[in-house]
Amino acid sequence: MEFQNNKPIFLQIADWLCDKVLKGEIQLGQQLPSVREVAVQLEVNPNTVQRAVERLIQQDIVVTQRGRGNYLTQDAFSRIEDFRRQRLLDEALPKLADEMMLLGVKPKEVANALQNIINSRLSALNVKKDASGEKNPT
Amino acid sequence: MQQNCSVEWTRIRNLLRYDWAIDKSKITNTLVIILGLYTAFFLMAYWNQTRLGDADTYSPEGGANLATFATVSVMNYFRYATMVVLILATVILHRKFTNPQTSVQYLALPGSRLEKYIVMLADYAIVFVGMEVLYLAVWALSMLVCQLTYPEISWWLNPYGGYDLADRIFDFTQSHSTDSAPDLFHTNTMQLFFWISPFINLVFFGLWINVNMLFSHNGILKTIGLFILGHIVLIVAGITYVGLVFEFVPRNVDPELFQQFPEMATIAPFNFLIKTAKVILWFQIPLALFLQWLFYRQIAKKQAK
Amino acid sequence: MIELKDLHYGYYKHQPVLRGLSLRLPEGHVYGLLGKNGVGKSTLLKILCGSLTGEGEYTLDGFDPRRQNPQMLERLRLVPETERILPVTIESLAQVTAPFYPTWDGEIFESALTEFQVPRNKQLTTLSLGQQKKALISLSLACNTPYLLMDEPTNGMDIPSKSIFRRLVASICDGSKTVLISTHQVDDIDSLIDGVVILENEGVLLNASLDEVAARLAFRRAEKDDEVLLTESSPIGPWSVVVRRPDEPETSVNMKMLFNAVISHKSRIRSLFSDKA
Repeated sequence: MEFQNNKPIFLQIADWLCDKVLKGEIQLGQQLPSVREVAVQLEVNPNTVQRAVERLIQQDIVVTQRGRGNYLTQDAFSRIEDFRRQRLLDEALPKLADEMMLLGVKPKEVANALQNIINSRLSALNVKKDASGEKNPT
Repeated sequence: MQQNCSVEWTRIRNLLRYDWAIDKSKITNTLVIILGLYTAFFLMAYWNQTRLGDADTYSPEGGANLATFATVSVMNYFRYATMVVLILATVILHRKFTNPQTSVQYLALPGSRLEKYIVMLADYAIVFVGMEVLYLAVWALSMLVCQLTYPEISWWLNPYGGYDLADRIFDFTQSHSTDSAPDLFHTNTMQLFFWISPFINLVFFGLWINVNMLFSHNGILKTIGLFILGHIVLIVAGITYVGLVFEFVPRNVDPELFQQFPEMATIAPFNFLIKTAKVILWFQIPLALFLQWLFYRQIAKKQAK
Repeated sequence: MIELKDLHYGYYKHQPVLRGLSLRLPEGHVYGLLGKNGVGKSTLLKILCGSLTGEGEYTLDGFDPRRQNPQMLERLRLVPETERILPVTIESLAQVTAPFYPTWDGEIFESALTEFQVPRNKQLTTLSLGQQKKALISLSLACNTPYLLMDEPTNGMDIPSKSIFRRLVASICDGSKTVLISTHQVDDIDSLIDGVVILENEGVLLNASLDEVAARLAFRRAEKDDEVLLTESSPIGPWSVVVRRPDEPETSVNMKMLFNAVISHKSRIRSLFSDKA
């Protein structure tokens, strides 16, 4: 994984784990990949992974079950969604707004473009869904 | 600084196995070269010898006398081969122990200084004993070849074998008869000297290590120089000692002396053999041990600073 | 723990390489030992494992390395930058090396060799330089000692192998291992290290955990009123090392830029980090 310049690595790892939850790769009741497994896969120091996990524990997304490992909390999925939603609004949008103002792009243009992009993505997913018969989270 | 003096025999065994594993090919290559060279040497003499004659007499007409050759040459070949191999072993062992470039990993191997030092001595002793065993094996084989080729000749160790080669090396008079007691004595002394010379290498091993400790850089040339120089010194010293005590003038010794006291012809040389042997053994070996102890202390001091 | 108090060392009497070095490295971390060539990184590693004798007080795991105590040596493994390449196969070497280390793990050896794709039964002298290095690294990783000292391990490695190296080191690191990696190619290992030690001729310029660095320095685009220590150009524009404002969120630490900033602002760095424990 290529790490970005801006955020501490452990936060990026926490996001990476959250992405997996959002994509359904880690589900409720399923044990999280071990600290060591993640460290090896991402080629980072296990201490850094441990910090990421601790951050998720702090945020009530992950809970450690003594002797059994790390698991998602009951509300993990919705908590993650909320966090990311908030981040989208608080961080991504202001940046987008700045750029729009700089270039004179109107919100309506952006809204239309966004809708088109999302539509095409959804139809691509649906094609995949029909082909494989699997359920894809949206 | 307190010395690290723990000794665990499993670790020593592991260190020896380690040495064997990493030096195995070097050892086998060296053995092949030694045996190959000797075989070539022997075969050359074997096929070139023109006259067998009586195994007891020296033949001035030349041509290798196979008996003499097989006895003397193998002994001398192995004397020098042993010396060369001991020099090589010393260089390898020393480099493993003290060269900053190559010694790091070896020094970091779990083992106390004392254990590694014991292993170094054991390596050295194994090489030395191995060469002696090899010498005996090759000598026996050579004897077997001679016996099979010329079964009519008696092939027992020629007591005057050393005489011939001693002649050539030390340039005694050309004409000798085996009745001359002083010549017999010199012969036997020289022969004994040759037999014992590998022990001298122990002394030089110790000396060289110590010399190298005084200089911080590789002293391979110094080593070889010291070995050669030391050998010359000891041989000269040996001859001087022998000569001083027994009036070393091979050509001019008064044969009447021995005619008056014929028992000297048999007893005297024997006594002197013993005396010479004693000097060498009782002096050289303690000296070697003392130098080893000096070396060990110097390494320890250098490490402990 | 590794502790140095006023360590002096010189290969020759009048050319000291290490002068009055003092350092304290708690165990359980992966330390990057950084510094320009010739500053004494290799020397320090050799001193720590007892192959060289330094002056001053220093201990590793409570032992004095100078005594070359076997109990210490079997808890420590050094991967030198260059080793004499022996005419043996890596398997034979492993067979005679393993008995020395009670922590030896044959599985680590096998998996490392497999991942690195090193042929087991060929003599080391017949392998390429890169393969030799990988074979010897596999051997040392398998010793599985609580202390692992590595001197420029990724030198000369191709990029896929560097990635394998990182994975292997990450897989053997748990809280009980202390790893010291000396390198001048910090990019190769920056994701692995959580403590950084920067050496210069004068001594230790920096010894801090990544957290401590991230708390004091920010790596981002410089803004007005920032105290900028260093600026470099990057694909996304000028990127700087600045003194972090107390209220701003921590950024990730760019090891290479950190090194350059420390080298060029020694006294500022010293004052910034003087308050740490």
